[in-house]
Amino acid sequence: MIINPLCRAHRTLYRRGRVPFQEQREGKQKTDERRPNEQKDIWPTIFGSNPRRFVVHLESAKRFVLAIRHYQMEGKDQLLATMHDERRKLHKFAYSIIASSSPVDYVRSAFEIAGLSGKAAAQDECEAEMLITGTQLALKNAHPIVIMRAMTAFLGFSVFDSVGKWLIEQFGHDEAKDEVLIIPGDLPEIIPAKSTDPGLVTQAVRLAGPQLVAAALAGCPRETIDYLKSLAYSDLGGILLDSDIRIARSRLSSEELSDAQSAFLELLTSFQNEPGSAMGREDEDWPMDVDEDLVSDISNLILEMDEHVLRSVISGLDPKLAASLIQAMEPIAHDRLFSSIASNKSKKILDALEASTPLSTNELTRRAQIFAQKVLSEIAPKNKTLGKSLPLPAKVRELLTSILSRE
Amino acid sequence: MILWNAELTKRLSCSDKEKAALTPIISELMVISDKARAEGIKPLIAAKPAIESTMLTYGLRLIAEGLSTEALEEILAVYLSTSTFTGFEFLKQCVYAEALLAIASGDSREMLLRKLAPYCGAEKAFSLLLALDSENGEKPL
Repeated sequence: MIINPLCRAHRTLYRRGRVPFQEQREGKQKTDERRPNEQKDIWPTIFGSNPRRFVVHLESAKRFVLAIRHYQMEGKDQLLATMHDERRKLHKFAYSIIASSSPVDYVRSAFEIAGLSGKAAAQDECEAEMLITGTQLALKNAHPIVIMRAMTAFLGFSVFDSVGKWLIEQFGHDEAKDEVLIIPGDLPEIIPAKSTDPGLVTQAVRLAGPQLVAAALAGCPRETIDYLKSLAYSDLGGILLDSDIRIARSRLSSEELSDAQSAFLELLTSFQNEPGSAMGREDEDWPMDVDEDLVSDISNLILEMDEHVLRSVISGLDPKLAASLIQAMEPIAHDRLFSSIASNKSKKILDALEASTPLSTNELTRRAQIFAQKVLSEIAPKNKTLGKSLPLPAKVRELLTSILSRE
Repeated sequence: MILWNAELTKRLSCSDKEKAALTPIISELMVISDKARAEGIKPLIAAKPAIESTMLTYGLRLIAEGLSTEALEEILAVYLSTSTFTGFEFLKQCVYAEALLAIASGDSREMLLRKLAPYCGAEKAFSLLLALDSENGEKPL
């Protein structure tokens, strides 16, 4: 709810000893100056519209945000160097607080103790308020885009477009550096299948929140990410999403990324039963054909097999066959399969997976049986001894029997 | 816990008649929220706004930037607290901001109603909920 952050913002802006809101407004309304390139003040603020001060504040925010960007990319030494070269007290002090990793709650009082805030009337402290907000967000490790949006909110909506343009110029080129990471899962197929109902996809994005969406997309092909961006995000939002994905890839394990994919997928399909939702109808295209027992048997077989045997079978398997088996496997089995093979083989399987189409239950069963036979031939002794049973764990034997006995 | 601030309460104060004028605004915001759920945010941004409001226009664009709810709350609070609006105009902007947060969070229609109705005053909120529901031909919440 807006009321709590609004109360907090009011409490800090119009706190004890400061000019009350009404009086400030009356004083400022006499000013007839306009902001640069603005014919009409679309969002009048208590800070007035003196063009010179306005430009100074905007440049101040840009400088701070670029310094934070370098700090986040290159570390504390970079920030200390920037601090050393900085001439303005407000910026220098803000950088020193960030470099010392002070608690967020301490920022405002630190500015006040240093005599940089809280002495003048609220309308004269626009830049200090901007830098306090920016420092607090930098300490929370917020993305520079978020920091810039929060800092320039003090200047009203009239700068919204120019700030957006500047942010795209500054941050719009990072995507080229992105590496591709593929975590096997259904999301890349499911999202385009929901294209006729973009409202529900974007609704799922909102409900999931940026972190889950980024983690879910971190293991998806670039096309899936771009597709979702085209549905739910503006250009700037797309840049922010790419950055969140980069962070998710660097901080989360493949298991966590797979869990995030599953969670987001579950959220998407949770709309299935809502009246008027097209999702439920489209969902029937593929999952209805999947034989859950077969999925369970294949997954358990992958999980139960001796690692040496699994590695040997998969390394000799046709990537297309492996890719089709993945269609009938639970994510935990994907992880084991991919962790047991060389990366070049993984790449071939993933390429085959991307090119594959959903198979019917019969086709999947037939391929699972080929796989089971390959497992058996791998386990079987090379010099056959009649009358001796194969050295198989009971569970693996049971699973192989279950798969091979299907019709 | 809901916070309270005397200065803010003073700034938000307006007459019962003015508060009653929020009803059609809330109805319109519910339509906007329904559209966001059905079509997504981007078509809403591209379309001619049903309500001429700077806060709504730019707020929807902030949502499309994919900010976290926490960041969006803080940013909208800065816009509101540093604006020069008072009385009914300020109350209206707060209602817009509340609706934006609900849209950003993917709130259901019912949840949006429950969040917006109290802006009409605690006593009137319940009757507003009933009135809005009967207007829309739905069961009371």
